[in-house]
Amino acid sequence: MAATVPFAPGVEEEGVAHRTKARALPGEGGIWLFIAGDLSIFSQLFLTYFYYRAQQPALYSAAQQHLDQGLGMLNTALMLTSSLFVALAVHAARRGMAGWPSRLYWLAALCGVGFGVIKIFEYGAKISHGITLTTNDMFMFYFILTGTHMLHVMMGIGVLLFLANYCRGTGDGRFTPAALRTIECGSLFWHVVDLLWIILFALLYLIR
Amino acid sequence: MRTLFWSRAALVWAVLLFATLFSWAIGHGVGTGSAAGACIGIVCVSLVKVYLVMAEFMELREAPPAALWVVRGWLVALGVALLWLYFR
Repeated sequence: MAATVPFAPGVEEEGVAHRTKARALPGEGGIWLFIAGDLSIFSQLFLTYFYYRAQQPALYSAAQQHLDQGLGMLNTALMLTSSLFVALAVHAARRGMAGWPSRLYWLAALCGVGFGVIKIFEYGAKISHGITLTTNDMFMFYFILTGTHMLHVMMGIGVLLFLANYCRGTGDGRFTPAALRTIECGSLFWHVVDLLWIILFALLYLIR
Repeated sequence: MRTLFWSRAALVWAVLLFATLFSWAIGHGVGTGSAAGACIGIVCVSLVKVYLVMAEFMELREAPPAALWVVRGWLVALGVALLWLYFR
C-alpha cells in the first residue's frame, strides 16, 4: 500500500514520517489548482505587457532606464535565497530535524520582508520623481505587475510566519503525513512568488 | 545540519544566482550584439531559472513525469509567445 499514496503513515524511519519512493505531487491537489490558475493569469499579464510594449518600444525602453536594475538584482537574490530556505525547511521537516524548519521559515520570511522594504524604497523613489501609475503605459504595467506580485509577497510572508509557528509546535521535530502536506502546500506558494518575480525581473528590468 | 545545507537545493540556488548575473550581463551586451539577441538570451535564461525552481525547489522532479512535461510545455509556449510578440 505504501507505494500508492503520497505519504505512507506506516513507513517511518527512526519514528519520523518521510516521503516514500512513490512518485506523487508534493502538497495537495487544491494548491496545484491554485498555482495553475495563478500562473495562467500572470502568463496573460506578461503577454499583454509584451503586446503593448511592441507597439511603442522606444517609449518603453526610455521609461525602463528609470528602473533600478541593481535593486532588482538584490530583490532577485533575496527571493532565490528565501526559496532555498523554504526548500531546506521542507527537507528538515521530513528528516525530523527539531527546530530547523521553524528557523528556516523565519529566515525566509526575513528575506521576504527585505524584498518588501526594497520595493517600498523603489516605489518611493519613483513617486518622489513624479513617476506614477498614470505617467505612461510602461509605468502603468510596472506598478500593476509589481504591485500584484507584492500582494503575493505579503500573503506569502503571512504563510511563512504561519509555517514558522506551525513547525514550532512539535517539540521532537516529528510531523504526521498530514502536517507535512500542510508544510508542503505553504512552501509551494512561496516558490510561486519566487518564480513569478524571476519572470517579472527579466521582462521589466532586463529586456530593453 | 551540514547535510541539510550542503545539498542539491543549495547547488541549485548557486546556479540560479549565477544565471541571474548572467542574464544581467546579457542585458548589457555580453554575448549578444543587439537588443533582439539580448531579449532571446534573457527570456531563455529566465525560463530555465523558472524550470529549475519548479523541478528542484517545488520537487516536480520527483513527481509523476507528466507534471514536469506540463511545466515544460507551459514554459516553451510562454517563451515562444513572448518572443513572437517582441519580434512581430
